Amino acid sequence: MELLAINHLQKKYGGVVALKDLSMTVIPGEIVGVMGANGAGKTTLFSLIAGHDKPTAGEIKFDGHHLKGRSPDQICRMGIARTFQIVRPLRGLSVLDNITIAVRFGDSRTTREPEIIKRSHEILENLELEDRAPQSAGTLTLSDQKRLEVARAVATGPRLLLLDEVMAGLTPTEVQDMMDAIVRLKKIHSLTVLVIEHVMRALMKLSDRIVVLHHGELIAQGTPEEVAANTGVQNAYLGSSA
Amino acid sequence: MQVLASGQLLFSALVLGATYALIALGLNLVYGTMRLLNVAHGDLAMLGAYVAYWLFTFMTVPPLVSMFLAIVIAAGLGALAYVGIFRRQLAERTTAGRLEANSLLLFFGLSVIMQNVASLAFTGSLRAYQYLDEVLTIGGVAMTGNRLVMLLLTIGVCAALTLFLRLNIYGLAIKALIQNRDAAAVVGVNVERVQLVTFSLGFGLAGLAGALISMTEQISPFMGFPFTIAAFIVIILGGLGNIPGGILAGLLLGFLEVYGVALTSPMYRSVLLYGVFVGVLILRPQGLFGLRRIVR
Amino acid sequence: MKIYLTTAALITVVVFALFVPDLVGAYYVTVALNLCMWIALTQSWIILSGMGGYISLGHVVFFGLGGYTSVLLWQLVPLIIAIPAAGAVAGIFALVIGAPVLRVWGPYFVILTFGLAELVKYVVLITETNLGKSSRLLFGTPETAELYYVMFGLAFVATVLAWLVRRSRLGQGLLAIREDEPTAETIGVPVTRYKVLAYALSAVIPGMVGGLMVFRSSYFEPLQIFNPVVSFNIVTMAIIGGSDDWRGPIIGCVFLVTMYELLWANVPELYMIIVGLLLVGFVLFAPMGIVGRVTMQRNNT
Repeated sequence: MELLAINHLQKKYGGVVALKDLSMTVIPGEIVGVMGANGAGKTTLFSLIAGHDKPTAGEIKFDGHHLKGRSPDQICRMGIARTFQIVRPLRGLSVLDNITIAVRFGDSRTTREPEIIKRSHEILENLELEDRAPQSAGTLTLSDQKRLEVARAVATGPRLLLLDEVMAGLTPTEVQDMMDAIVRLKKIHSLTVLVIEHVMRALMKLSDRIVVLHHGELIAQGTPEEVAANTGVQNAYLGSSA
Repeated sequence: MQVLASGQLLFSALVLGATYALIALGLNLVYGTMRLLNVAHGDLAMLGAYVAYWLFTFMTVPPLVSMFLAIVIAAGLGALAYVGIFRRQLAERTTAGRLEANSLLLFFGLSVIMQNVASLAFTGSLRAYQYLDEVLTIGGVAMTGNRLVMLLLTIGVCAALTLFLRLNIYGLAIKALIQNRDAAAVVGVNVERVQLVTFSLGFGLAGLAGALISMTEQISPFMGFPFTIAAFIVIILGGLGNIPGGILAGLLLGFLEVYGVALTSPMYRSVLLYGVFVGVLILRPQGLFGLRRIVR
Repeated sequence: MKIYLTTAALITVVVFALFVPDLVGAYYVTVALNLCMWIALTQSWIILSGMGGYISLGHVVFFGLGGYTSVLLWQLVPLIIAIPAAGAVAGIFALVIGAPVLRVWGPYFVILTFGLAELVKYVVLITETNLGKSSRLLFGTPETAELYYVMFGLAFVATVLAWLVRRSRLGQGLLAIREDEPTAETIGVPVTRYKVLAYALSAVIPGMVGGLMVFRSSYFEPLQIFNPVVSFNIVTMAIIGGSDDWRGPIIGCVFLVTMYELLWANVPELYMIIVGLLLVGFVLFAPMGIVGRVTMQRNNT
């Protein structure tokens, strides 16, 4: 039973075709890597799934329900969370507040105030941000802000997590920490994850399955080994391996 | 219906439209390059009007000469405002982000100060002077000399500015800044200096418009506000930062107003103007010709 | 313990306020009336504009619509029905135009609200002219002291409302919207619903305030009741005092009303110039207002 079913998805911006007849599925519990050069349509895909933009054609179904016409906050409460490529912490608020707001508004299952606070602290601990809780989100280091971004997404209690280049700008140690965190979170919260990543090493190691986009089209999918060996993929990415 | 075909009406529409286009021009330049909404724009015109008035009344300097002084004074104020207030704000990342929203309130405060300083200095009474007000008849249409001069001058300035933006190196730099500030910096445009020039130019154009308006209208310390509103309507209609769009929109608004009032009554003038304003902002915020997105 | 202190303080304030007309002369009752009016207006304003970040520069539209409703219902229904009706009309207007108007962002929302207020003003003006009433005379209007009592009540309710909203779920959502609206939406805040709700909440009390203040003069004139200076004053008081929670408006209103009383009668232009300077100064150096500044100092020590 698919968690996410995408059928013939198309997105045009004026004359530019960002996504062209994309069809793919995601089954519960897997980590699917999304690979492709800049402009291949990866972030567009995330924006369409999360409801920030409307497709020009095609449909997206989440757990059997159509996402058409739903606002981002509705989609969030249905169980889809995303991070942004360029982190967007709520700067004027504390780290803790960033999380509690996400729990309060995004998680339809946690409603009572004590639970909200408890869950917020748990999530902060999961991502080793607990000691930063009272700090203003705008003053965090980039690495911490990236983790806050992930924490906030997870705080909304999603079943599907969309991670958009969460490792960009991190040192190798931080990349490893982030990878561990993702695996940890997936297990604790029973998540299904879609990961866009340019750090190839991380993408290959994390993903159960990889999907390759090029100029808005899906040109290959399979296990990391299959995709790495695929000549079409190699042609598209001559010289861009990690 | 007969009335509509009159050359008189056409001439009025042209004069009003050209005036609107000229006033909006300065506002659009400042907005386009720095994303600042100068609510005090009309008050700069007011200053220009008073410069022309005093010079004519006390030294019989014709407005066609004093307008240059009006431009210089207004431009000077612009440079001062830029250097004193806005340069610092635009430079720092944190304040720059808030500045677009805050600039409105900032300029509003400046507007209040200017209006009331003028009121204290000049008293609030309406003033006017007579210059070139003999009636000429051209092509069967009766018009006063000052209106004709205003029309010709305004068209001239709009044309000159369009050419400036297209051909002169500074003009091209301004255009580059309007299109994409960071890219402009990368290709070597001295953003700082161009901003200073644009600010002064925008203010100066307002001063010029005021000096011209003083030939045909009564002036008072609070006359600026309706012009600010009209300028805003024009730049929204034409698309924010779209200079040629603004000129067209100015003409359009002039026509809309003159013919709209002729068809209904002067009472409806304000409803028409504000109706267009609200309508465009809600229904087509990118304007009739514009491209910038201001809606989430 | 804190609850008892707060309740005692509140009771003291209320009792004192109720005795003001007996304690001071007619002139000061008017001052008190005005102060309560500005507090009621500004506390309502901050619900959307302070907490949500959507700065409304045309709030007088609700004041005016309330005033107009009140005038139309004058002598037809008792004031006890007319005033809430005035508030309801303002609130409904906000609900109806809220969705399209709030789609517009930042400074454009600001000038849109201004344009909207002016538009409504001229529509009312034309309606009145077409009805043949260039100004309506109002007979038997309430005394200043009576207006004052009700206005105090409105100021009190508005303050409590601001306090309540700030602590509520709505308030949290609005803060997130103010910080970063698309992000807030992504983490589940129902942004459109909350913005419209905040807009409507910020409209009701100003509607009632307008419904009362319209009786200050013995005739009704649209240009007066929709005067944009009202909008500007609200914004200025909120910027100077602080617009984050209920404390700012009180400080801002007291400050400006005091200055007004000292300066307006003799040198109105000077008052306006000082207000302009304050506005510029605060926007540049202390956009969080006096309350925000003081809070910042305390947090830094």
